Amino acid sequence: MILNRILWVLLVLTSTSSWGQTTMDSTQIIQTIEVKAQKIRTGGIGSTTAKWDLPQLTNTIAGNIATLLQTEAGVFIKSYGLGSLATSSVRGGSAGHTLVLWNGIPIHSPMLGLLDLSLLPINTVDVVEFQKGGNGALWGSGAIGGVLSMDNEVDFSNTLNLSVHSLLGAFGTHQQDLKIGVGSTKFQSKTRFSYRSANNDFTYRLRPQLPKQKQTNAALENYNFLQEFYFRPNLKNDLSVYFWRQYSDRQIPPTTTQNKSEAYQIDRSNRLILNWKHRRKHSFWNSKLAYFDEDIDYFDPQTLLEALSNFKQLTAETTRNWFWKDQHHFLAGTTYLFSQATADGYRGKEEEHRVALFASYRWSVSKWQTQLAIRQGFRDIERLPVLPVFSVDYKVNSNIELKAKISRNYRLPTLNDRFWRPGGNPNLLPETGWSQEVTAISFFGKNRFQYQITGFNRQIENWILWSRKKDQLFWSSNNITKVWSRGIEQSLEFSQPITNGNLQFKTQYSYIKSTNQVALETPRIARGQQLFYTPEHQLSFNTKIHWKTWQWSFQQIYTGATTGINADVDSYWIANTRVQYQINKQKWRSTVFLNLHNILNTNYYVIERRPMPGRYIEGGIQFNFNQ
Amino acid sequence: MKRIFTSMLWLASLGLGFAQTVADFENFDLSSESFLNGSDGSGGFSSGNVFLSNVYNTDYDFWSGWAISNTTDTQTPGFLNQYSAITGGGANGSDTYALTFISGESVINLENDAQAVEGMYVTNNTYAYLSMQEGDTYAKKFGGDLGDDPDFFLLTIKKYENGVLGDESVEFYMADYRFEDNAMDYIVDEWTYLDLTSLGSADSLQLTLTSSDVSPFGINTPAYVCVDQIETKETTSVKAVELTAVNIYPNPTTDFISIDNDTNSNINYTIFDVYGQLVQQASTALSHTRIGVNNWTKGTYIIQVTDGEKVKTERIIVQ
Repeated sequence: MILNRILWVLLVLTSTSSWGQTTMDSTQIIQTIEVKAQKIRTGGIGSTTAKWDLPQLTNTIAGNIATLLQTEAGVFIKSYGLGSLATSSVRGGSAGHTLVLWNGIPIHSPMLGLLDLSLLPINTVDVVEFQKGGNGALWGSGAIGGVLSMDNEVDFSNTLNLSVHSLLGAFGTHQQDLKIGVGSTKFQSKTRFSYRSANNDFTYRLRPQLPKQKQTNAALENYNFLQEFYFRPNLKNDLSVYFWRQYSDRQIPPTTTQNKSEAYQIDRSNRLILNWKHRRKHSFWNSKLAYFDEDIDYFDPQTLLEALSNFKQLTAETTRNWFWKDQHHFLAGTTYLFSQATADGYRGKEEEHRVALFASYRWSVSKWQTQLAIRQGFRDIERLPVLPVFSVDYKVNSNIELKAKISRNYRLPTLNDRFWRPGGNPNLLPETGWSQEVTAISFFGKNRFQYQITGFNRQIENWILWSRKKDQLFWSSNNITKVWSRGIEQSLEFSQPITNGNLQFKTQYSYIKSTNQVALETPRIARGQQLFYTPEHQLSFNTKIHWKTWQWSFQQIYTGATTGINADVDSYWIANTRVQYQINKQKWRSTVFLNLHNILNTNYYVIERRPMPGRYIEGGIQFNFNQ
Repeated sequence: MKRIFTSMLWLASLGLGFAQTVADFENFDLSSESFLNGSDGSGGFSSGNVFLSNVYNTDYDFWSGWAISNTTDTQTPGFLNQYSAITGGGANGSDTYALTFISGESVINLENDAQAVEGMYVTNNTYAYLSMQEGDTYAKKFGGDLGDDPDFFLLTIKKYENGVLGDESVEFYMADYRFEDNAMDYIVDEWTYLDLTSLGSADSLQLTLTSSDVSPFGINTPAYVCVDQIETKETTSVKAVELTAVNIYPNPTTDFISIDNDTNSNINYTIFDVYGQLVQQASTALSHTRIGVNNWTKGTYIIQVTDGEKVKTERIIVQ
């Protein structure tokens, strides 16, 4: 019985939830949810996980991961403008403190230590999960502020699925997406193609009373091609292959204090992952092999500057999971990562090897769930700090849950930090520190309301900054400072069935202090000063109404003032809305939608000198065919 | 502490005459559209009676201090055109000029008999000029987005004498947008003569730049200045007797400086850095003296050895 249940559960791991729910009893469903939550390896213990599955991703106003996190998860996105570089700051961390996974493999650049979230269209994946808080023991470098997991999933019951999405919008925006899924119970293929182009020549005002002016040199073209193959020769084995080719050609717009720009940047990436799962009586193996080859090439015809860079990265990972009596779950794994990068600043190629061993034990009984995990990593031949994490969930009663987690985490220096000449320091230490967080969740009003409050505290030592030491002629990377981040996050959710539909409301508020704890001379940063571009206050309201085949959503987001490098940035309110109408006819589903961004027409900046667009509109249509 | 560059001051006090020398940098005989940035390991540049130090890091291909140039590009913005003057050539129709990237301070050292700088020509380099005029990714166009910001780019010149930085200064706005009437705003685009006689006698001059466009990371405006035709004043009649029986080597060096003394007498040696700060001073009667430089900051040092009236002076580069 146990074996059968486990097999069912494991099968569902790679299947759609609807299929699972129609074929299993309630106990199995609970386990399904548990196992599916392992995409970020914590089983949701110690902190909560936000999750968006395919219908939610299809129906959101967000076109990319950056906007999704901003509009749905209350994450601050540091955006250089519409279509430009966008990175996240989670719980007062830097961009490199959010680990981004694609099908379980980190995809941030080893040269920069971060990823441009604006280049990740949400239509290239089926599920997105985001868990705030430290997770270094299970994921290694960079899992400090949070872990974002983007996954492609398969439905082995599918025979033919076709999806076409077309969008037209202001500023010459044009997007086409095509997805074809074909297969059988043993083999499935999914092909996705996405093209987006935009002039992004929006108008803005330098001051509210001044006439509008038009943004220049901001056009972009993005292509995404993604091919997935899934092979299930028997109930014990799954083999999947993912290939993702991205090409982005973006102009770099001028700042408001720059007369013109002719610069542009081309990002190319080829990502390949082989994934094998093997199920046994009380356990399963998962082995992954990934190879990434990526370029970032920057050109400025005005200054004759050409900055070319490339990295190749090989990742191999094997994990084994054991289950025993539904109460005990043991995970052991090893990861090897090899990075090789070329840049003018390196004067050639630089390489880095990383190896890690990690293990986790999870114990679930009655009202308690706990997890203890530990990781020992090595960079080249250097032993890295041991990373433990201990997390616990306690269900006080049917209305109250408590969660707590303590973890040690690090971010390893990037290849640029180590090898850029001049200034790179090969012997930099990892940014390392402890995080603690406590969460209370309360359900009330016949479970229609959910209130959640989280307090967190994090100290990071050996924070890396490019700085200039006394008597040093150039800037260099140094483990120069220490950052203390702490704060409170609250959310209130309300869900109410209405006639022929449903009403959902969610408000989130976060107060985050993230301060530099060492007085610095160059750059001049005072002790206790809030980090640049890190708002203390963020507030959002999200309303969604489903009625018959209509759907309406409205978001209002407040971002508090921040300190910028050249000037302070004022607080701002942004509001967005989306309305869509769906027609279902036999195997066809057609959706017409309209997105209105920044409906308050707010004149705002996320980064000083980098204007953002006022009110603008997008509209489109989507067809789905399911055999 | 006594500076090598002022070692002749006592001669001046005897009522001897003065002469004027111009450092015009034409002595470098550059081929057209070229520059010297110290990549040859020279450690600096002498012209007339001034010495402009340079540190070049071969590992990083990185230079600091001074460079000599005759490039004429006045149109290309950006870092890759960092060696050009906005005038398209040297002062008064000459070809060659000096330029410096000022990180903290840059120093003009007086050498030989020079004891003061009477004046010199300065102008903006093309990178800085176009950055202030047009703005770039990191620096603002002067005047800001609306053209009304009271921006400035200020060159301040002070003197070092006996290793002490003087209070007197000469200030010159390389760009000034502080006028009520924006039509009066300007960025210097011609060679401009600065009268420096008010600074009086000096061992060296200190150049610093300040800008209104500044962040916690420092000045956003590219901190370059071009300099030409530096007029120095020096004594004329008495020359120190060359001390030939002393040999100082190796040069450049990484570990030590050797002094071979064939004078059969007690010699004094004094070592200064390029800023005039005393590094080491001692006497020796040994025929061979070795001075460790392992812990010294990389750069140019001046070593002066005296035996009574006889003097030998060498510039040593520590790498």
